[in-house]
Amino acid sequence: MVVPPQKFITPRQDGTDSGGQGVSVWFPQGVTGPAPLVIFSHQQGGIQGAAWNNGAGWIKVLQHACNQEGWIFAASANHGADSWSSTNAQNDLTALYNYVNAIVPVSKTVLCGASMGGSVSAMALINNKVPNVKGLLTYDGAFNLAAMYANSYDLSINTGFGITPGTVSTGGAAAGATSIPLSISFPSGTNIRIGYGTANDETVTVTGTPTGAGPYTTPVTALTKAHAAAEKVSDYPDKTAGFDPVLQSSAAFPNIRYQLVSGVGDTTCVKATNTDALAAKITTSLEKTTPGHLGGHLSSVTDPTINIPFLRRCFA
Amino acid sequence: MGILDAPAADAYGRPLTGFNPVRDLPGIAAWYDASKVSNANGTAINQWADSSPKNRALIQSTGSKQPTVKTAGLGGLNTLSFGATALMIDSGFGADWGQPNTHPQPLSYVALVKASSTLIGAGTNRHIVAGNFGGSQSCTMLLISTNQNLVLNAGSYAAGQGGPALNDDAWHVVVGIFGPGSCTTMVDGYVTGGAITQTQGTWPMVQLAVGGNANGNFPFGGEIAEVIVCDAELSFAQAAKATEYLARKWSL
Repeated sequence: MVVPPQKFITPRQDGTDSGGQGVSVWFPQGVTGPAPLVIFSHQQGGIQGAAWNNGAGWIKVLQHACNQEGWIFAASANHGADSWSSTNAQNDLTALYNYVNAIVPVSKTVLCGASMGGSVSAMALINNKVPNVKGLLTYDGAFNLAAMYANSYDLSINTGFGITPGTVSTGGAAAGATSIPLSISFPSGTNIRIGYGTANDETVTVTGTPTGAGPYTTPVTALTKAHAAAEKVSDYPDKTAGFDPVLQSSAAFPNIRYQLVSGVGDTTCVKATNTDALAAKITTSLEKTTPGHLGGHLSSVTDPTINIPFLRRCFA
Repeated sequence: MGILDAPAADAYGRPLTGFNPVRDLPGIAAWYDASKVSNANGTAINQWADSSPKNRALIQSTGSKQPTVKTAGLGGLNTLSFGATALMIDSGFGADWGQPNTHPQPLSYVALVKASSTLIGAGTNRHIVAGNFGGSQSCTMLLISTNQNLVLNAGSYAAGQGGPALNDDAWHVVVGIFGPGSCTTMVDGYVTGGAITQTQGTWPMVQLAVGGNANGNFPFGGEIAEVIVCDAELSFAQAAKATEYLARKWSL
């Protein structure tokens, strides 16, 4: 057994990055660099550091252990509670890296995220938003944006991507119909998703200019399912195109190390549709594991006895 | 005195080169070391002697609740097997501890344990070091939670934010620190949970039981090699030293 050191006192340092986002950084005592950096992205509804204080919280477990190893640990506000994998949230990780690197030079980086933070970590990795990334570590990652949208996170994702929501209006629409009454007037050509969160979930395209004044009679490509009145509808497909980690090609994922921790009984970010689906996309890697945990969503999730050895391999 | 003249042992004859819990941990209050149990393999024991100067032996007079000796259980040293009903209690608690019925925080528990994956079903708390828990009495407890993580409880569940699932049939050094202004759990030297408030609650130690609570509930189910109780709030560094001591001694 290699017993890790317990020597660094690590007060949190708060600041503001070049994009105006609040950031929190924990530097190991006396670090001068170049030093490894772990960038953490928070969950939906989370914040960069204040909620963790200097002693509480499950992510504190990882932050403390990282600092003991001599690594820097940093987190951004990531444009708030509902940023998901949006361009803003991805760019926040670039700004956070630059913020830290200007204080202490960074040698290597690992992207780490929890739930919603997993989505931005994965997309920032794919889009090379942060230099010299050696690993991806996630906890109950929300990698399947479409599944999360159908699993009650639609309002949050609407906020993150500027999605316009509406409903099917009175009368609903039958399968095979080529027009549908909607509460929102979507422009011709818009891909719209109808009935998410129900068994009727499908995507169609607006084929002409809607008429009426609410409800709008909207011409669409033929429906394959019947829709009841009040079913949800939005321009989700167009607004999130290119931002859903599990819809990326396998070639997009770099040949690095991956540790994707997931709760075996997690009903929020269901393992099979999120973590397992992302893992299946990663076909070339130096290391890829999907350790399970027995707690619920983000409960009893951080385990330094496996996370720190993984990070050591990343930073070796 | 030159360095070559420095004594090899302290005033009590304990080597200065190694870690000695009695000397090097603050406020040692009890120390149960299975490697010092010399009974034959499989023997049920009714007493586990205290290796600290406090002489607070653990007792179990009911045969069906007694742990058994496992010779060469770990690193060539003897361990104790705690079955699904086994536990040991400091029956002299009170007089032993210099107070009538309770002993207040701060307290720290350090233990080397191996939780069986089969003896105790999932979804049940497993007490490693506890006391009289039930009825109107509650106490400080270091336990494996239903999520199989290490957790402190002295009125409320605390410091269980992370760490490995411990029902893995593997040996782990576990530490629980009950401070008046903080709480911490550590597994194998890593901090696995904590808070800067007394999140665990303010209940004191009420009796001392190992392998379950004093009422016979929430059995640990597995092997225990060593348990150290400190009448103090260990620092992270002290807890790491104790962990390293156990890891070396037991060849982990």
